[in-house]
Amino acid sequence: MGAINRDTIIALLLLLLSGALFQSTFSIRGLMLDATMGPELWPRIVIGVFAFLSLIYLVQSVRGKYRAQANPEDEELPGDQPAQDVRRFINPIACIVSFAAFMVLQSLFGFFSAGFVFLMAVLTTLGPKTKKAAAIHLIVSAITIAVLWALFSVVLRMYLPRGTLLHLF
Amino acid sequence: MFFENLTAAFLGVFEFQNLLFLSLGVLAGLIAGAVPGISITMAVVLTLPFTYSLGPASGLTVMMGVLVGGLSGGLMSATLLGIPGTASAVATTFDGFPMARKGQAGFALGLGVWSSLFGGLIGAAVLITTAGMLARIGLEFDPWAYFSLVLFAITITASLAGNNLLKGLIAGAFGLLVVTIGEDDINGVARMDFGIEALRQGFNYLPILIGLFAFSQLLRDVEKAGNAQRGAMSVADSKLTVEHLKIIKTIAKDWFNVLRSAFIGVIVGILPAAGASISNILAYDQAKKASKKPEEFGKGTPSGVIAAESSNNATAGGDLTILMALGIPGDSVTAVMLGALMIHDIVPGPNFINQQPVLAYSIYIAFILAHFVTVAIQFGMLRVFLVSMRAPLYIISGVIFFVCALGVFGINNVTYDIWVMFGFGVLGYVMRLFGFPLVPMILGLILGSIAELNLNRALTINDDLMLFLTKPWSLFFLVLAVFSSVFPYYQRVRHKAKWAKFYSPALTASLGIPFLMMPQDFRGLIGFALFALAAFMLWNNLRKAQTPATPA
Repeated sequence: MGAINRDTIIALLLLLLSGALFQSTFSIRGLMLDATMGPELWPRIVIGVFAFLSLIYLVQSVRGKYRAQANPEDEELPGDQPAQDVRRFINPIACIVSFAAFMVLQSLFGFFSAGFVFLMAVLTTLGPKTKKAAAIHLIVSAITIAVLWALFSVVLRMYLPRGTLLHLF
Repeated sequence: MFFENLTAAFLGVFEFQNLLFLSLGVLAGLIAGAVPGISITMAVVLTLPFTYSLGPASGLTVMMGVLVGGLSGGLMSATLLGIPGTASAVATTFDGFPMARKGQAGFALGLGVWSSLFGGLIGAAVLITTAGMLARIGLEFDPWAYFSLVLFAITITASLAGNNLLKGLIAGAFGLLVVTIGEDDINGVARMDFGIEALRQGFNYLPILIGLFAFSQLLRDVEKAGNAQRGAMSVADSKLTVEHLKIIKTIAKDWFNVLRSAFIGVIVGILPAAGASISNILAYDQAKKASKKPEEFGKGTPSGVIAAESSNNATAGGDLTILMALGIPGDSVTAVMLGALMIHDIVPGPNFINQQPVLAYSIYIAFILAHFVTVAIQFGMLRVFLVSMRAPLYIISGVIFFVCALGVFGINNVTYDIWVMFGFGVLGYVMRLFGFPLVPMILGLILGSIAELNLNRALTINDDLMLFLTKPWSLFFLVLAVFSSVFPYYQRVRHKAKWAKFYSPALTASLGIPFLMMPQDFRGLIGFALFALAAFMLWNNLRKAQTPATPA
């Protein structure tokens, strides 16, 4: 038997999720008509299958079947860092936080204004920290926003939020 | 009527704006395919929002261009860098890269481009000739058969996740679950919204697709700081002369390899969930085994490049055949296309070709034309590509993050969709980290509502569950679903376990049973033939097991 590991925790979370979802099926409003298959039946079938598979996953993970497995859909690039190196998450987390900030800012300052700030933040975080790079990031961000604004707002005439505070583009 | 529809389709595709869209799509696909880290699926997904304002024919033309361009684009980085730009170009690196290192980069690229064209044309021929036939068979499918077909599609997707079968099935079930959130398609009842108003509308496919395939992939790409800052494709200037006549003569001499590889590609494409990522390796493997000089494979032999590139483009023909005939996506790319068609209120399936012949023929013509456009653009703009691919990956990624948000917003003009994309993007990234494949989840999402609808219809007509076993086509797909679930275990132990020798005969015999149940006489003959084949396979396997190994 293996110790509790990452896969065990995931399996437990999936089982908890199954429980929560199954509980929520009891609040699905039933039909007035007599039907063979009510709206709650299919979700319950799927939740049942999901819970069963998660249980098998739990048992296998406790037995230590899973090691750190690469996702078969991913192609590992050369010079890859080992899975345990937490520094590899810094860039993705920075992108996630930047994107969340963009979503908040776009409602205040407008889609493209917030987009410019987002691009600058992401490029600065991911790219080299030199003056030349900063200048390139500024130019790339400005050109990208300009081209996309022209394409979407002018050519395709797509409505995009202007922001509640500054009513910018 | 046929010629009228075909003419209308020709005229539609050859309109100047559609030719322009097709060319832009090919260009986008080539660039996406060439850049390691951007998949064909991602490229097609990102194209979708831009096609929203176009008609279905124009939108599909663009996506055909992206698909075909992407399949060919992976060749460039595979040959010049030794890194496959897409999973469909893995086998191309085995011989393409060594050829480039020997100073034959132009020859290798030329072989790949022309092989892609010939393989793609063979795939197109199969698409045109068999989609209609398969659709006529599909008209026999009742709700029981459709439900079982969906089950088969999900299990085979999961089983092709290799060692991650269980995780693949969990991902598939999760996809089925996600699509139940929101209003029920049949009764309009809100389900599993946890009292949250926004969840009552459920999730639109497109933001989920973009989140899972594009957003999460980009997060994965930027993980590795060193790689993110280097050029997407940095290649020193080198001689890239392409001698077309010499290349075509080389391919003509190896014509059987082209045919066999294309055939493998088409068959793999027809299987739900198996795509070009598998066919190129299978075709390469077969080419090596059939070659008189197998020791030359891996060192820069033209046959290796020909096999890989012929098969990956032919696979697209197989994928589209199943999509158009049965409405079942062959892989993640066609799953996205299915979502796109549904957004345009078109439901591919057995009736699609009959009810929308002009659109169906437009797809055929666009698919064929895309191959010629790809050849022209690839050869004409090779040097331009190489220069533009020097942009650092992090800059491309940053721009694409923003384009994702822009494109998704354009679907319904609501920021809720961007949040959905963001949420599923983070989820997709976490799933990749923990080894959960995404394709089964996508199939679950796309096919979940089809499964529920057909289950509902089946039980409404007759609530006897045994009908799933007594209806021939339903039994056929259930047998395939069961055996595909066991397939990964069989593959691992086929040379060791005693039960493994019974697997193929059992599968063949089991598939014969539904044919015997069908009313048409010739199908009964097919059933008997399958039983006879199963008996022969069993006898052969038992004989091999009893024959002692010949000493070296």
